[in-house]
Amino acid sequence: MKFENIKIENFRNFEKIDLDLSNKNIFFGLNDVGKTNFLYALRYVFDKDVRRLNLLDSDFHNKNFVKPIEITVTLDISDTACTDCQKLRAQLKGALLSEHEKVYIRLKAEYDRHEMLALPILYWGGDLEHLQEMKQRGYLYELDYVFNVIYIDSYVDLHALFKKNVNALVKNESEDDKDILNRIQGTVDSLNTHIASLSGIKDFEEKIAPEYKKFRNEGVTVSIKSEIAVKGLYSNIIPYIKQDGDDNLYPTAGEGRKKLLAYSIYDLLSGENAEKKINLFLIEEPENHLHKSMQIALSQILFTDSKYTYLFVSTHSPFVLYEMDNVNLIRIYSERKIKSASTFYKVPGNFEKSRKMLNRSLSEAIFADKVLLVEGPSEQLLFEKILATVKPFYEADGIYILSAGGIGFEAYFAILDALKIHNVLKTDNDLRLDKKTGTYSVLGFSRCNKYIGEKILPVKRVSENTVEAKRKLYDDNKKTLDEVRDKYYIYLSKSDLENDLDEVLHDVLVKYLGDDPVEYLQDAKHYRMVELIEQLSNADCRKIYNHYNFACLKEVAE
Amino acid sequence: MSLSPIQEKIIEIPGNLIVRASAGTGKTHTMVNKIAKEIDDNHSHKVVAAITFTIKAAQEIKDRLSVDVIHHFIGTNNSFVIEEIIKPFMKDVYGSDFGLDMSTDYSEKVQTYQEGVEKIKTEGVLCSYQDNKKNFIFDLAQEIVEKSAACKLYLQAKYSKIYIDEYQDCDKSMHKFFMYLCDELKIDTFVVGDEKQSIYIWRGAYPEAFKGIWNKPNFERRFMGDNFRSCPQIQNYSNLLCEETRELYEATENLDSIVWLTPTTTNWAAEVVSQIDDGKKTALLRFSNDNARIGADELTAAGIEHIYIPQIPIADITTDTAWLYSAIAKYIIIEKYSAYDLISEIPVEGNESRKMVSAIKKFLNDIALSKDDEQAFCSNTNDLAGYLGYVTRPDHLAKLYRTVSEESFHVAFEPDKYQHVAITFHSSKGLEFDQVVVFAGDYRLSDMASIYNHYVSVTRAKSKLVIVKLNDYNANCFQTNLSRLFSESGVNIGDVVSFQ
Repeated sequence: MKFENIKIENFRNFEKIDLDLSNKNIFFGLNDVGKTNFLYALRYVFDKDVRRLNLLDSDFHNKNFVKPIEITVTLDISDTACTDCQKLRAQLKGALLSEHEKVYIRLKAEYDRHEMLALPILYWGGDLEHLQEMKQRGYLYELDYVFNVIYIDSYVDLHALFKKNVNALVKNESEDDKDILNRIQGTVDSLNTHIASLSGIKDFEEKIAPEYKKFRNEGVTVSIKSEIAVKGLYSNIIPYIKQDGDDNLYPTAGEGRKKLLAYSIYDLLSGENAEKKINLFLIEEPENHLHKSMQIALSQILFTDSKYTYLFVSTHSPFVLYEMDNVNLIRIYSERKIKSASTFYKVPGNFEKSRKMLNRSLSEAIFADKVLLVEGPSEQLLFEKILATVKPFYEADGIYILSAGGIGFEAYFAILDALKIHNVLKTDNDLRLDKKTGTYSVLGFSRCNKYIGEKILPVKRVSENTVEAKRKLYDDNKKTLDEVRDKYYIYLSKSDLENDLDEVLHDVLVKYLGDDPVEYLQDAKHYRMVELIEQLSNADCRKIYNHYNFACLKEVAE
Repeated sequence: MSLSPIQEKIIEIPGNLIVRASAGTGKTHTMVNKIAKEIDDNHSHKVVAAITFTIKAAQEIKDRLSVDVIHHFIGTNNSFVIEEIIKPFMKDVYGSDFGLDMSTDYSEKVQTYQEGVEKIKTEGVLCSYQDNKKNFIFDLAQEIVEKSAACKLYLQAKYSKIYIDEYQDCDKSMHKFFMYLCDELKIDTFVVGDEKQSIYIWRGAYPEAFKGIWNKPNFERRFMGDNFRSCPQIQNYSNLLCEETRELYEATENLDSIVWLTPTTTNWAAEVVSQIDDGKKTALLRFSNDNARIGADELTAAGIEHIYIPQIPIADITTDTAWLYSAIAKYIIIEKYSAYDLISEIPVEGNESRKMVSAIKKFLNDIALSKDDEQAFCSNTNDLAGYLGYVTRPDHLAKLYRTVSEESFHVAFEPDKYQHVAITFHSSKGLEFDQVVVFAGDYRLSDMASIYNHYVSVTRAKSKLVIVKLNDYNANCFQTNLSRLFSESGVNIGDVVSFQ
């Protein structure tokens, strides 16, 4: 079974949204753009406990009661050997005919002015034009016999969760247990006898009854008992953690531990159901209370454990995405109205080995609104310094500088484009020697053409490889290159970072770095860039920021 | 109730299994236990179907199963194919015109398959063939399941096992259908039955089907022969009737349990009365309703009151609404039958939440209050039917009114209340009595159908069987054929019964 699509209309902050889904989905975006509401849309369809709350006036987008709320989920069930598809078929019955390979599940709710609420009605079937109303028994729909929603809030209350499910989790049903339970009862009785014989307890019991009788004179006595005797065995058991090689018990007090234990409990609970039903995991901001390393561990589990086949996670944390693969990235963002964009992300084949590196930079970048893609750490260092000076809050404004670690930009901008994250690319005007002819191919130009997907810039080889030659090449094609900047947000260096910088601030660089600053910088790029930026003044930064050579900064910052 | 070793075995055997279960061997008990165990052991999403021939038998299985059965199918064979195959998937094979609401009325007859299909298209009515040995509903279901990929996938996705009770009553179409599910769709099948109890050959039942499965290589087979109901002598008598049980015969010394009377048409009742114990449950089993009624009168006149349990007028209604007529009659006639009982009989389909208990109580109250006014009664009944989404017909309402207004029919609703009854042996199926009185002339024993009828009648008896042999042609045939049957085992009639 595969999740394909969701359409949400007139629900909370979504006027109309149409989004491709996959089986693992990550929702991200700024606060208040509707990530939680997105999960709510799914929960209204699949979670009986949410659905039975009905929909209120505030659930209608801008309180538009003229239109119904409609949420439609599309599932692909063409794989007849898949047991999850079979679970659905077994309930769909004649709503699914031989030619159908997809199931549409729709929730529709019309506002009732007298009742001041909207009752959700569910439909499903293989023919979108003729969906069948789902049969209902009490507040359960046929759908509820197929799906089991495991919703994990960002603040899980471990003890409440354990208490609520203790009967499902702890089953003392063997023959021996009967005996042991009887013995426990005996122990509890004698515990209470002991408690009752304590002098302090007796004293208290004797004193309290007359006090009580002052308020109300009735034939009562007060006695002190252990809670276990009154509320039963299960009222009194709670999980503790014992470390290997240490006999002490530690309460599960730390929020991080509580959270991990809670996840483990959800694991067990979902296992109980997995063969009968389809478990859908809806997880809200799992990163809360977890240390970075735990978030990364969680990321590993979420993206590799087969238990989480159907996963919908909202997050603000790049660490949760470190292990992402075969996942649908869904960005919810706001322009005039709430929009969304999504893309399926599979770690590209040529990145299998450097997957972590790709994922790490990418997981940071997708939380931004604008991304400046640069080749290496020198650019990153310099540009961060400049932006920090000119636009001190650039990060808060959603600007992120991503170093591609070379020129493998495609893996990044393909995802960023698909997520409609504005990205600006800064790359060098490289030339490369062709040994056979002794001429130089215009590597930087070809790269631009490749990214644009069209041969806009000439690719005729040049005979010389000098800074001057590069600058000449640039100047000869400046009109086109300016168009490339405006239209495609690709900013080619006139030559390279150091020479372009030298053009802007030659005198200053000489003062800071000696007579040949370009050579000095290029000698140990990363290290010397650190040395330089420590010395750059605010005025220097502004000058760079305003210069043609570094207009890419203005492009992302303004 | 505990299980015998063979019953235990049957419960444990996985996969396809056929059980031949002689009368009184605890067939339903075993099947119910097997279903309960297999539901309990099942950890997948799949459910089971328990298929019976009568609504009453389905209800009995539901009542006896203590596990939650809400998602499982427990119902009659016709309702199984109508609800699971025809209604949902006919449109998949015949086109969207057949996505319409359908009702059943087997009193509507057609000659050909094509006419039957046409009737569904134009009237939305599922009917039956003129020829009562052919089965339109199952022929249609067969066509659909073979042609609809969605239907096949649905059945395979949903059912882990199908349990079919009283398999000897299946006709050829049913047999073909069930074997298709088993052999082609690979759905595990459990079949229980006994060709000796095949009393519906006259309407197409095909006991050969049962024997056919018995020889299928993909089925395990077990025989349950331990009759827990009848005493050894009656077991001997019944086992000698059929080839496959003859070897179970074990001579008994005491022959008091089966009495052979040769009275005249005028003194038979007095002779029977002299043989039976007034303090024990007794049944006179006859072929025809008339003879059962007359027999009851004569036995009563001879000193032991027998109540004739008649065929009630609503019994032959075959529309979807049939259950409702029966439930309304029970509500009026049976003291303890409440609105909740009626609600529990509502067939599983549909949105139950719509049906408010309080509203149904009000409708039923109105119906009960109007039982002396036919017009108001029918109109109130019609209102309840409408509320529940069912359609009534004037002639059916009239039958219901007759059923509730004529007191002589009321006994049919609580036959267990009466110590001595007279009924047809067709309606005695599944019942048991301490003492049973049969007439030799009702069974010529010249064909298997007649032998099976006789087998069913005599195995109703626990401790005493009285055979009344008058001096007429049929009775003489009976005697001749019985001697012949017994002689196959080298036994004389006198070795098994005591002549008076």
